[in-house]
Amino acid sequence: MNRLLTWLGLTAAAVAAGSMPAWAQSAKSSGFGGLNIKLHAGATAGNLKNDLHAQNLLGLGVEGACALTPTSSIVGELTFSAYGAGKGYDNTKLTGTVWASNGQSSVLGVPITLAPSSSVDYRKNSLQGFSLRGGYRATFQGAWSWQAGLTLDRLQYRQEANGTLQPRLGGAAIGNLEGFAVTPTKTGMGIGAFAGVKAQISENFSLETNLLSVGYTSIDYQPFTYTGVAPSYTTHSRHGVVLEVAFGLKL
Amino acid sequence: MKIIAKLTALSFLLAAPSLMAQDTTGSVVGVIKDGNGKPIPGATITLTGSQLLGERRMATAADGSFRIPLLPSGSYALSVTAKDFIGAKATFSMHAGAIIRQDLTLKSMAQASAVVEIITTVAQLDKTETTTKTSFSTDQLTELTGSPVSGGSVAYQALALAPGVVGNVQYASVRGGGQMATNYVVNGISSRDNVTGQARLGDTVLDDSIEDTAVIQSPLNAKNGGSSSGIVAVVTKRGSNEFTGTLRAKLSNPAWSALGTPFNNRLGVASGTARAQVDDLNRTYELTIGGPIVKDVLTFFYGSRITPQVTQSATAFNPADYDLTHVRFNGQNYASAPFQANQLQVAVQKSSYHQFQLFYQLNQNHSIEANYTEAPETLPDLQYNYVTPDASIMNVQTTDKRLISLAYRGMIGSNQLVEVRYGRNQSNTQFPSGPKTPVTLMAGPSGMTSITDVWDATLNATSLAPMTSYGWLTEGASSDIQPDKRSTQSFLANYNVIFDWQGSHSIDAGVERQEPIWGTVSRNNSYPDQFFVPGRIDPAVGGALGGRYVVFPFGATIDGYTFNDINDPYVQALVPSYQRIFGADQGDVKNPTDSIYVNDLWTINNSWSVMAGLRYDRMQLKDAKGTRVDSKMISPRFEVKWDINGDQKRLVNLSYGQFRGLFNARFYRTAVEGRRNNQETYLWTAPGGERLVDYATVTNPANYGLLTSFVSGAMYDIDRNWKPENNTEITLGFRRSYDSGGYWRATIVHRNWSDLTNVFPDYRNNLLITDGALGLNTYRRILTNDPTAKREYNGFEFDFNAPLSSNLTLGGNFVYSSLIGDNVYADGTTFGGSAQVWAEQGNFRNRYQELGYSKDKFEPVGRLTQSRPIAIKAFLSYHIESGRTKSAVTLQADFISGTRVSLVNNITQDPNLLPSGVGADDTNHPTSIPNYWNGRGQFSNPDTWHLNLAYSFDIALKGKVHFFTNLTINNLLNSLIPQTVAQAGSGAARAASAYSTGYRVGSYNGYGTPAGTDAVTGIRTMNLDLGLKF
Repeated sequence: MNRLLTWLGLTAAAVAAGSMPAWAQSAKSSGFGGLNIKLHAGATAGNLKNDLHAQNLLGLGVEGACALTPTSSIVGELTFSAYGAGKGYDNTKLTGTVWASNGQSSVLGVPITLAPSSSVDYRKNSLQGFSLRGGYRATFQGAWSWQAGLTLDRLQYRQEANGTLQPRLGGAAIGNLEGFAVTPTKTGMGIGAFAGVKAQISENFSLETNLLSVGYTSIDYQPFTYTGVAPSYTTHSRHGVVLEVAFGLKL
Repeated sequence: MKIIAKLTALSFLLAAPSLMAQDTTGSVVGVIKDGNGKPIPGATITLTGSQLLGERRMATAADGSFRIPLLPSGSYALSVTAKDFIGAKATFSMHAGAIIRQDLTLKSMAQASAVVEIITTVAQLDKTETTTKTSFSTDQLTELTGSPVSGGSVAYQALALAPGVVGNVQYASVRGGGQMATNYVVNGISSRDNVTGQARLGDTVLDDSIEDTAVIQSPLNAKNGGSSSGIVAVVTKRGSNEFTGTLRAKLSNPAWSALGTPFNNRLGVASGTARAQVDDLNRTYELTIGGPIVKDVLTFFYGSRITPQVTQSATAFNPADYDLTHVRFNGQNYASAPFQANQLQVAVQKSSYHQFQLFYQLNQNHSIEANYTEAPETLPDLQYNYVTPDASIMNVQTTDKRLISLAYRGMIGSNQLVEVRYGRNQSNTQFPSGPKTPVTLMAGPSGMTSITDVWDATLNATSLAPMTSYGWLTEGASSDIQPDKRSTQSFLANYNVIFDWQGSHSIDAGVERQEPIWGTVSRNNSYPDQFFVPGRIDPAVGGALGGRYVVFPFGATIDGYTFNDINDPYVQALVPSYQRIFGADQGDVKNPTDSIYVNDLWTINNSWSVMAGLRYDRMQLKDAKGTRVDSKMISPRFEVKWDINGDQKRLVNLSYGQFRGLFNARFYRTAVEGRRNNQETYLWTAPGGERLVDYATVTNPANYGLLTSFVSGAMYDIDRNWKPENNTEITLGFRRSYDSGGYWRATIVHRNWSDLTNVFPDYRNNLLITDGALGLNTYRRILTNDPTAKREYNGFEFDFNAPLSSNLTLGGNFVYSSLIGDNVYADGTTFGGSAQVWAEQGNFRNRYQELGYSKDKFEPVGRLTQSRPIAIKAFLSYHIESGRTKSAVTLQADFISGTRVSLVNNITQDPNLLPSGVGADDTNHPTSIPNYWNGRGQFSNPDTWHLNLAYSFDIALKGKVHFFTNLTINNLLNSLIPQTVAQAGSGAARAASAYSTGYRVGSYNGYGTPAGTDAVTGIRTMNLDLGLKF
């Protein structure tokens, strides 16, 4: 998917470059003072990429702008965003000490480990929800403008956790199988920021790119076998980085 | 003549309503005004087009309006002249069933700077249309690549691009509808397989004979019936006054595909192998030609597809390949003697296709069109069904498929249209069959040490891919020896009148008949008896052993294993059994639906319009037993539209409609006479213990005394009031159109299906059917509507088309949706190959309900979530014209969320679920209950995505002759998608752990491997088309 997004980014840049001159020459501008529907696609990095095991962002938003001067405006956008659906990954710790379900992590100094052939810890994470953006936009050359502002994110982080853990001592199974099949979710509010450049490629269509930070709260299921305590969920407040491309259509 | 402006009237991808979903012609409407906005009455409209015979000419009405109906798909030029005004000319593209609006403003002579002004305003779809669909011309589809499709028709690309469509293109799901509930029509005649619901467009139309393809998400006009999901409508070309034609070679080669690569599984072990590509050029040649026979009166169109004959060969089953070489007898391994192993099978694959069309235009107002298509096909089927070592059977599957249609279209006066259409789609398929030897054998691996090795090794050996679960070897095929005949007859007569009263009305009224027919075969005539035996010792052994059959009697103890439980898989696999089939009658099964409808589109004023329609359907099912079903249904349709500014640029619509579906014959297969088989299965009970017997003994029914199962025709009935499923749809949409071309549309869709089909054991009437031999009993089962089963779809669709410049177009759609249903059986989605099995076995859910269990007991977290929540399809197309050449490059991407998965473990007969007074050993009660882990459908398969590339090139050679080529590369980046979600489990009980989370204690199966490491799908492929056209 990240390769697809790279291609989309390159293609978007080519589209902007190829489509711009004709419109720029007309010296007209639009999108200020009006509403636009915007399609978003982007690539994630940092915590977001690591948590989701995926890099893609897809979204749809409605943007409104209020002109301050002929070349500047206040913009706001409500966006539904789906960050990755997350590649499934095997979280099984095939090495290192674990706890058997009888409460032991070692027997006579010999560590208890997982039986790899009979243990699976499958995880898949996703993040989606709404973001509210507010910011300032100013034209700096012809049909080009820049924008920057803050985002208020209300995103739901969801984990699919499904597994069977079989401790072993040496070559033999020890203790009991621990199984789990849960889909915990965590919805959190976060504040982020964005900055980017917009190109008005025709009266009705625009293209923009933004770098934005996204605030969210992750959740992770912890089986007994890894910790020696009753199964639990751990949460972390995170910020991720996204480079997005958005295509706008005039309402 | 001075050209004032260049016309850009290309509507590259239309997403909008049409008048009639299954129409084959469209209309152009408009108003002619002067520069002050006043209408110009009496202006002369002249319409010419490549598909028109002659030209259409008319004068505008008092309000300046005009309407020209019955226009075939294609490109048109519309000219207007009026006294004291300079003329104007515009061009537009017409799609089947569309109403195109082309308003024109004329300048007065005083402003004249040219004789004719070329109008730059882009034609729009008119707001008076009453269905929602996405249309494509074939030129567009060949430029827009789709996901790799099977079935070989460019029309399928429309499904790969249209919003709200997921699933296999031949079994497409439209807006959450059942994958086999989508109807496929060619020239208004259903071409779908009426047994399987499969599209089969590749058998019915040729790429270059397709004029137009539409995916109809919402066929709102009451004229449209026969689908509770959506409709794919294809319209073919017809001849015109000019000779046109194509000669196309379609080329592909496995060696052009990316190499399959091995990968490591989760344990780091290499899995899969590098796939060696075969350098074998696949060629298909297609020819079309059309033109006048009598200019302006009679035209023809002919299309043909020729696929070079291919001879395929395979070595008939070699047991050594599967390590099935031995028979276990008396504690020893003996070489087995499968039938005719290692013999070479040769089969010829060939197909052809011919389409003929005549178009007769009596005058500009009346025409007759006749189509005939035949597509005979022979396919090798060298190893099928059971693995057969029999080289003597017919090893090909032959199909004779034909589609005929006849249509009359006429205009009476200036405001009345009449269309009458008849069609028949038929397919006769002869599946492989041959001389039957009623003995089916099983063998085991060499080196087996116990009787259970025979079963275990056969079941679990990874090399058994082509085999069914037991690895039986059979001689001869079990298919019917008579062809399977399927056909659908269609008849439609529609009357349309347009008149003014409190605004404008367009009324459709008519009758329709759809009659799918399944020519049944009495199975007991072809294959009544079958014996299953655990092996035959190689005749070469000699003496008393050679060539004789091993029998393990029920009740015996062999190798320490006792065969004393009829439910034991070892018993079912290894004790010889005798299956007897009898009692089926022969006769066609007919499933006609007769309909009448009336629909009024009332345009109140420039801003408001209302559509209201009513459709009455009477569905019957007739078999050898008589009329089994006779049900009647009414489907209301309603829509209101608000054109906010009265200029069609911002249009709001709210619609409500009910859409009845069609049955696939698989639905009622088990319950109709002719397809119903009485069947009994007995186990070997002859005295004598483990021993060897000869052929006469093993095929003597008298040696099989223990009845283990029976299926009786009397066990099945059909509710006389059984109805096809009903889809109630509510939509709220907004469409924005731009003067310079392009549009976007946002639609909220709610669909709710009722009258879903299910099989109910008839506990209520206590119709218990008992066989005394084993005390076996079962209840009579009734095929009927399930009053509690629901299926619900909620979606948000956004689709757009943006001409970024004169040569660059961006388009696509974004759909976010959810689909939930009671279970996978009742919603129609899985009425596929397993449908018959399902119907035979009944359905656990209803069994619970009929027994009085609370629904909460077995559906602890509600209905099954089945959706693929996000589906995105987009394309970017760049056109270049230079001198004599035209070319286009298109990038097309799709992203579709993984399907939802329900992880389940089966809990054995929880006593807490049993009604009071019922013992756990009551055989009429469920033996297990599925338990969904942490809710139903809460897990998900991996997402899929592709990036495809298409390049098309056209150069004028001489005169009208062009050379063209289309190159498509699907999955350009060779994305390999994991196939399924991991299902963890080792087959052992989880009861021991106090910390297991999210599921109930119980046993479960399916020790899985995490997705992303084992099974992957998707590979880069390439196709090249090249040819000449004129």
